[in-house]
Amino acid sequence: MSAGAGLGRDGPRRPRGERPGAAALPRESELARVARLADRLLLGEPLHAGEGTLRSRRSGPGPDFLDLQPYAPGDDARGVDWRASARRGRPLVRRRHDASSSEWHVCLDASASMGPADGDKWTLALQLSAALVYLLLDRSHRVGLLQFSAAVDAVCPPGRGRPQYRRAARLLARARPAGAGGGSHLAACAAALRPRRSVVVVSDFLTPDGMRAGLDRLARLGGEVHALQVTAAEDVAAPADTEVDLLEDVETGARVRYVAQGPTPDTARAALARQRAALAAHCRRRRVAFTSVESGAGWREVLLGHLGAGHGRGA
Amino acid sequence: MPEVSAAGWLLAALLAPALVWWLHRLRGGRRVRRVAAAYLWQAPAPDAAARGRPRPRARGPWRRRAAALACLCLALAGPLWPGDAVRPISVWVDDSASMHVLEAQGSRLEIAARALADALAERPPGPVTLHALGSPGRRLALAPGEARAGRILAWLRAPGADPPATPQPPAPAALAAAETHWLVSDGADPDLAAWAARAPIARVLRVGARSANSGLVRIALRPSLARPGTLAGLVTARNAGPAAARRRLVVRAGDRTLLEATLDLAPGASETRAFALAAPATLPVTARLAPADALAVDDALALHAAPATLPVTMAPACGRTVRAAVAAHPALAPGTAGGRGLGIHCGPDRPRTGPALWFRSAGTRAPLRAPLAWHGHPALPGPAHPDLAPAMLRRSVPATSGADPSAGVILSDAGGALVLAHGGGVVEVRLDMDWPPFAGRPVAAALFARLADAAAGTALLAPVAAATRPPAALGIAPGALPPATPPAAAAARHGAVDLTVPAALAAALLILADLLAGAARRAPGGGTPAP
Repeated sequence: MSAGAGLGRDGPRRPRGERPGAAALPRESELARVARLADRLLLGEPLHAGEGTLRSRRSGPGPDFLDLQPYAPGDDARGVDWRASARRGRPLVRRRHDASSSEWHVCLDASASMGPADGDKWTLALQLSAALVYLLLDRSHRVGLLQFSAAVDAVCPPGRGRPQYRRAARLLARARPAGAGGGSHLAACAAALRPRRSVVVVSDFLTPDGMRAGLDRLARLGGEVHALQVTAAEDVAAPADTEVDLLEDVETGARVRYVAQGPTPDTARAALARQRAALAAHCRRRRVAFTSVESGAGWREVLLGHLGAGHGRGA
Repeated sequence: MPEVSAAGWLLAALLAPALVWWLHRLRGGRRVRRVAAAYLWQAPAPDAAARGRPRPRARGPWRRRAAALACLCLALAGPLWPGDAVRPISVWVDDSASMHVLEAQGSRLEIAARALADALAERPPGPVTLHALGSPGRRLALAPGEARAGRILAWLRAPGADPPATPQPPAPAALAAAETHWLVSDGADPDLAAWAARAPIARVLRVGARSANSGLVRIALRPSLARPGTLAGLVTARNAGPAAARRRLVVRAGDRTLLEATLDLAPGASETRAFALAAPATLPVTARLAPADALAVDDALALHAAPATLPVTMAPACGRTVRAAVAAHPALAPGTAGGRGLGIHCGPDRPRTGPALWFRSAGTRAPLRAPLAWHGHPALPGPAHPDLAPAMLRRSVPATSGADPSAGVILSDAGGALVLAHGGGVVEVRLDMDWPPFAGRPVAAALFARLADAAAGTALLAPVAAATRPPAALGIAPGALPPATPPAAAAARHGAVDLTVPAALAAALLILADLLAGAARRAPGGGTPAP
């Protein structure tokens, strides 16, 4: 497979013996079409092989323009863009994308709050994870996959090309959210990764701190960090049974008294909205690309929306 | 107003809803649902904090379950909706001898009458009929409200009559199905207890406590065989109680004491004593036990008739053998001509009426031709006298004389009938009673006695006059009577409706509804109860 050739447009048949969980994963033909759309979305150029479009914002030797930065002592003087500097009235240095290929890791949250296994939230998370792995591999990146809950549960070491996608797809097909207990410990993924690795986190981020500490640790790796939050309406839906008195956290087991009458049914929805807004603000501050969606949305729209929001472009 | 047969279950039906509510309240407040993030729900409502911890309330369909349990308890209580008309009552009263036993509170009859009056007063007024078990057919119909102890007792005490020895209940199937049947008895008669077990007896009133009793069961007289002109008597006493008894026996005939004896009677044992008196007896001959015990009725027994002798009228033509046989016969006595008794005719003419012995003679004396055949007679059970032999007998009537075809032959030889039994109690004898080989022999008297029995139709040599009392009549120990099956008071009325099935059906429907609702609640989307 040549570099940048992508993973093919027509997905092969599913291998014999593939587990039923694979039924939630998109077909490779669909992934190929989305990859082409993503190309146009990110670069405005026709699909061509070899150019990674999900670029790191790290500058380095390379032909592609990244951005203009004010000249700082130590910058190479040959990088000064005199024309832009004359226009701006101050010296500006032209930075270029680091042409060396980067390593990406998709971290899929498989904690109990992502369940049940046949739920819309988990299905969308699987689809997004598979699509991201495909898209990154199509861009000739090295891509790995981690499944985590209270710790890293499963790992697909980084690799390239279609075989790597197959390996990742097998892991995704076997993946199941935990039934109960455990937790969502994103920092475990950071501990499992080497510096300068870029990460895409697919999770519901339903922890009291919104996994902000984990995101910070991932950001300190030095690579790009993307966060895709997937929630479901059931996460904040009032119990249909009016005789429910206690709500039990599926991960921590903590119980909260539920009062059917009064403002409590709207409390969770408002709390989630507040948490989402706080997480978005935190991600903006940490330069983490953040998108929040509710299950029921199509994975294509979610993925293209995330990329089209400028999160996948070079500046 | 509905009534119940088991009030305990009715109380349970009233308490069941409270119990179910309390049990559901205990498990209330524990319906739990799992959520992805419980912390999202943790914002408390301001007024909830001010109210404090909410009070637990009964969760679940406790009302439906309480109703089901209440219906079930009500069904077990046996509810009845009474009808309108009061069911007639037939009371079967044991008036046998044992009911005359004197208890501490009076005789058993008096106690029974009071108990019966009280029991009838508890029931709604309605028709009541008393039946005397010792006297079938004797009954008393009481009008509503007339059931008083005095009225009942007066009827039970039949004037002037000895109480029946044992009760004689009707067949259980003969008891009217539309009536309620009661039994009043002391249970001393085991047959009555067996009858009560088979009969549809709704209520049993049992009286009596005493069990010790002894009494006289037989007094008899017969002519003494050893001493002519004397009557020999026997009197028997029996102890039917559980303990030994000492009683003094006195037998009197008129103002003359014939016997005085002290009897030590073991439980269940009998003692017999003999006495004698000259014939003719001064009647009545009475036997009495002293002192009187609980049942005084059986402490005395009287014999009002003496052994009877049969008057005999004899024709003058009868020979000396016949005359001697009549004189020797202890049961025959000379009678007046034309009177009732046994006629003894000797001659060729047949007597017109019986009972009569006809020693027929036709002037012929012919020896018998062996063998003799004894054909017997209903009044002559057993074989012929062993000493009766053809050699000692001679015909007095030619063998060619015909015999009445309707007559029964008692004795015959090869030549024909010798003794015949005609209708009307006439026995024809064609034997020469004065034939020396026969006359004067004991067999002649014996044959004559047997022929006289045949003519009289009874055993004249064993006349016994006796007065007896069944030994079972002495038993007064109260026996166990089978438990009655009293229906609910509502069943005393016609048209009572049993509400057991509707109550049970209601409970079953409520339970089914609860099961269906529970299955729907456990369908996906509902809450799960806490482990």
